[in-house]
Amino acid sequence: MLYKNQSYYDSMILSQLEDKVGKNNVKIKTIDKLAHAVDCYWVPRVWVDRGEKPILPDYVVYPETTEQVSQIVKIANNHKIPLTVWGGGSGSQGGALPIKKGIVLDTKKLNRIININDSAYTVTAETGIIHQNLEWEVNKHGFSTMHFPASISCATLGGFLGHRGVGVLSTKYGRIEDLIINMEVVLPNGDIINTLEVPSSSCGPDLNQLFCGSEGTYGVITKATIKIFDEPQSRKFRAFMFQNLPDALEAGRKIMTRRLQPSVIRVYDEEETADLIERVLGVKKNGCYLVFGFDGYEEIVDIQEKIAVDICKETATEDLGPELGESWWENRYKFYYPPYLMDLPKAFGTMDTVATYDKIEKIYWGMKEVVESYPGTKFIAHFSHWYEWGCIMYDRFIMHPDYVPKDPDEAIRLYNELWNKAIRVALNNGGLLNDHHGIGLKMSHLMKEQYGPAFQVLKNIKKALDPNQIMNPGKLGL
Amino acid sequence: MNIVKYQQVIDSCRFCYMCRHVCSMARVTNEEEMTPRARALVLSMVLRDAEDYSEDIAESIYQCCLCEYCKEWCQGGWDFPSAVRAARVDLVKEGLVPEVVQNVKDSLMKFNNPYGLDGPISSELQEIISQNTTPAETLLLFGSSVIYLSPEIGLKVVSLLNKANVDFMVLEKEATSGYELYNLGYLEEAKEKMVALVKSLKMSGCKEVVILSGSLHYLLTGELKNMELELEGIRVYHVTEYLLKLISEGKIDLKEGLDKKITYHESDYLARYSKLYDAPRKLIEQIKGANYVELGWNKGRARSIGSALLKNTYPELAAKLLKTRLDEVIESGADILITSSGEDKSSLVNSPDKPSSLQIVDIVELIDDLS
Repeated sequence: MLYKNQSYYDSMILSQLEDKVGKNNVKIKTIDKLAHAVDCYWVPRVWVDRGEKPILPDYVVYPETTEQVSQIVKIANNHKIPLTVWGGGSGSQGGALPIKKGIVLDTKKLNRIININDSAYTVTAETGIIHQNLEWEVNKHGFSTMHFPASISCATLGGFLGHRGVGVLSTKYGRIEDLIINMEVVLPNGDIINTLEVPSSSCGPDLNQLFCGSEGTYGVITKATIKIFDEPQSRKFRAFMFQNLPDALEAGRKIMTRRLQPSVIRVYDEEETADLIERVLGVKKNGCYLVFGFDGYEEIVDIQEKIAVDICKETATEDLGPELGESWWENRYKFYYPPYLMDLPKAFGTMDTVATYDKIEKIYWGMKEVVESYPGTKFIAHFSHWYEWGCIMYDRFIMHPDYVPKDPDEAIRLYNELWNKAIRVALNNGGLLNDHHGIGLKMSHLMKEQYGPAFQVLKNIKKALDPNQIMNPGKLGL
Repeated sequence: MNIVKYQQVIDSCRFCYMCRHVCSMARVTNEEEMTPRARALVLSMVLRDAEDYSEDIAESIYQCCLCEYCKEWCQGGWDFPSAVRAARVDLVKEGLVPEVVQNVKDSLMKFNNPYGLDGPISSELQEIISQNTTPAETLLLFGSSVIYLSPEIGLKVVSLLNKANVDFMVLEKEATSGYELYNLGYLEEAKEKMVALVKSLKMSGCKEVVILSGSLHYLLTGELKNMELELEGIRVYHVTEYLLKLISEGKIDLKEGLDKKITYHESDYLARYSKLYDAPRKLIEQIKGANYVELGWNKGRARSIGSALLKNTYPELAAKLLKTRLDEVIESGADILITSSGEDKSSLVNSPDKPSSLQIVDIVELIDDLS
């Protein structure tokens, strides 16, 4: 039977897809498509909030095996149908939106755990698994992935790999691309390939890192082996108040450059301390809130913590003790539930950038100036993932609803203008477009500007792998 | 539209993914459109006239099993299941209710159960009902799942009440409580049935009601006040609470022990509606010699196996829920799975995924057998 409004050609494609994955795994109802037409990007959200219809894919397909992924990709290639990979759909950059319609390949039925290796401390899983489910499973065996992003409950392993995601303990345990051992990928021509067994070698460029962050433009990551860790014997947190941002950032820098190996450092600027920290943790304080944590063997943790406390006490205005550090850990996901999370009718965006210590503060003040030049708009930031050489700034702008145009086109235009101006402050001062949310649709147009001539490398790889440009078109500047 | 009252909930949930991994239906189907946020998104579009209610939307809204896991999990405190109920009221008014739902409604109205069963009632149970309609202070409410699916539980509870010398009565004919109709969106019919139930309880002259059904327990202890009805002084016990009371009063003595590994599954109604965790566990603690293990997901976070409504509307989805719960039971290594609902016992016993070595028994049966 032909589905409503479908042409013979569409029904032929539908039949081919159903032939490969089964009728129950191909969805063409509007309600199924709608679920894949809006992610966490502000633009489609404001679009539907204003009563507009989002761009729908033509088909939503749920493969259950890598071979089925390969067959779907081949169908897309044969007919030159755009194909967008959808994991959890929780990305904030529009990376999973099927903006050219076509096929959405939802990976969530590729969710099996294949092996937990208690000798090599790795877990191999299909990449459609929701990461929290993966974490719960390895927990049963006494391990942890130590990958705890805010989106752990909704994003997939493949989504993290595709966007180079980070968890709150990344400062010690690494980002997702640091956790990867090897992966299986379906290329745009349908070939199934594997990267090398281990991630460290002198065997040419690292294919793992080529596909990490490729946002579904180079292929579909279908399986991955990542590191797992023992649960720590001890995990401790401590919080301090600082009079101002430079003092708090300097304390964080010293903790890192003295190589104390904290699992986490977070510094909240004065505005975010006054707003979010107070609402979620109930701490009403002036100044900047800093929380750090250490984990591992208790004796080592105690020494690491003592040195970090001494560093903070040099300039901190108040030692808030372990309780307010631990409550931050216990409430680490609460920030992301409405009403604690920013939501419409405000306009808002997270422009997380990363830079070296000598540049990050200048970027902060520069972006703040640009953002706050817009009426009714404030800028807040925290510094949440730290390296020996620098840190990331998780900065956000929030525009009061009164200043957000009612017309959705105008609202989006203003949003994009603000975004471009603010993120260029980072680009012009040694920062990058993004640290861990990806590029997606949102900043696709800025990739060439950021990379300069080096962008031809990414572009030529794309041409070689995907000559028909079917994979996630319109994203990543490719 | 009825959902207008829930716009704040709907708008909060439409872009939020934080409960998708625990949503019962999303968990077992792995489909995006089964998540609370997908349902909220489409309802938000209906509210904005960007979508009209349709048969497809109706199917999606009725495929929510109303287990309330999302509400339990939400750190923002949003009650999305209430928005689903409100949407169902709209769908009833719009005449868009799926046929499978209409069939259950017809069964509730005609046969007083959601199973489409026009009897027969177990002859033993019928005899007990016939013999115990004389007014007494204690009124025993079986619920349709015990009457139609698991009469053995009814016989055992009567046995226990007799052992404890409790003078009890039952209703000559238990009508449907109205709560299932309420959850399906048939508000008027639901209210009519609830009024009739309250009236029959008041007219019976009883001082206390002992209930075997989780949904009935929640209706009488929780939802009734929202329908502006009250029992006026009649005390309501779930059967586990009542048996615990009888044991503490020395009226029931658990003479026998049980040298087995046992575990307990609680229904959605006890886990997340009534939040009745302690009484069943304290009752289980009375069993001598048993090795009790909690399932990994328990109390407010006990995994759902769906209610009678899901089982009788979308049985293939209910079967998936049952399988995942049984997998958990198997992983626990328990010899005996204890339930506290005739509905759950019947579903679990009849699941093709139940291992033959696993014994499934209602807590009432177990207590009677050991006393």
